[in-house]
Amino acid sequence: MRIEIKYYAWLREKIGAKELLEVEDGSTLNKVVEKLMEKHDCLRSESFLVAVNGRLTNPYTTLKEGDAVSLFPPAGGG
Amino acid sequence: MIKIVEEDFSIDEVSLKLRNEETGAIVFFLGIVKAFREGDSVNELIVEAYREVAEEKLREIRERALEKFEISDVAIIHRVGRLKPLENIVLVAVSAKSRKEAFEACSWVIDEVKAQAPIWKKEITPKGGRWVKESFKP
Repeated sequence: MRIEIKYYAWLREKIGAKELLEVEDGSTLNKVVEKLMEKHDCLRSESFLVAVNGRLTNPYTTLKEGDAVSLFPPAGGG
Repeated sequence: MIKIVEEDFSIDEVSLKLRNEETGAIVFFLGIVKAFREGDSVNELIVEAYREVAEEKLREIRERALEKFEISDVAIIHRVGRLKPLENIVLVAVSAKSRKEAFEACSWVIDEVKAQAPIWKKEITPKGGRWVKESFKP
């Protein structure tokens, strides 16, 4: 199945605004994030949070075709 | 009142919405774009939010403030987009019967917003762009 991945702030500048990722049916959010960390080295050294369809979600959530997974840095503070 | 908006906001309008017959004080925090920071002039500030999660976080912060303090209402308005020095960025307004609780709640709310809401700032300086990534400074 295909999952849409979106990136925000400095993650977007390093990786791109979005991409489509092909994953096995029934994959969990955790598995998808692991796959993304294998694909993009910068994710191994950056702190980030993950949401599915605009909501912070349990990492063991099973994803379905067409879900949008967003990776974004923690609050910027400042 | 919770809003993430591109356009500027009116403090007077917020002030009118937060008051009722029991209100004795409204405390405001207004964050504005710095013209200089860390030795560089700032030409522009780009404010970006992950809107869905940021709005959810702002609502949670507002609800927690209403439970935690003896206050009547809370407004949080955060701008996004390209802002110039001295423009408004964020407004927190807290109404209460007395000023002490309103001051404490307002300070707590802006600290929580900066620590919790996925809203990021990129400064454009003559040397280039840089994200504001430091731990928040009250």
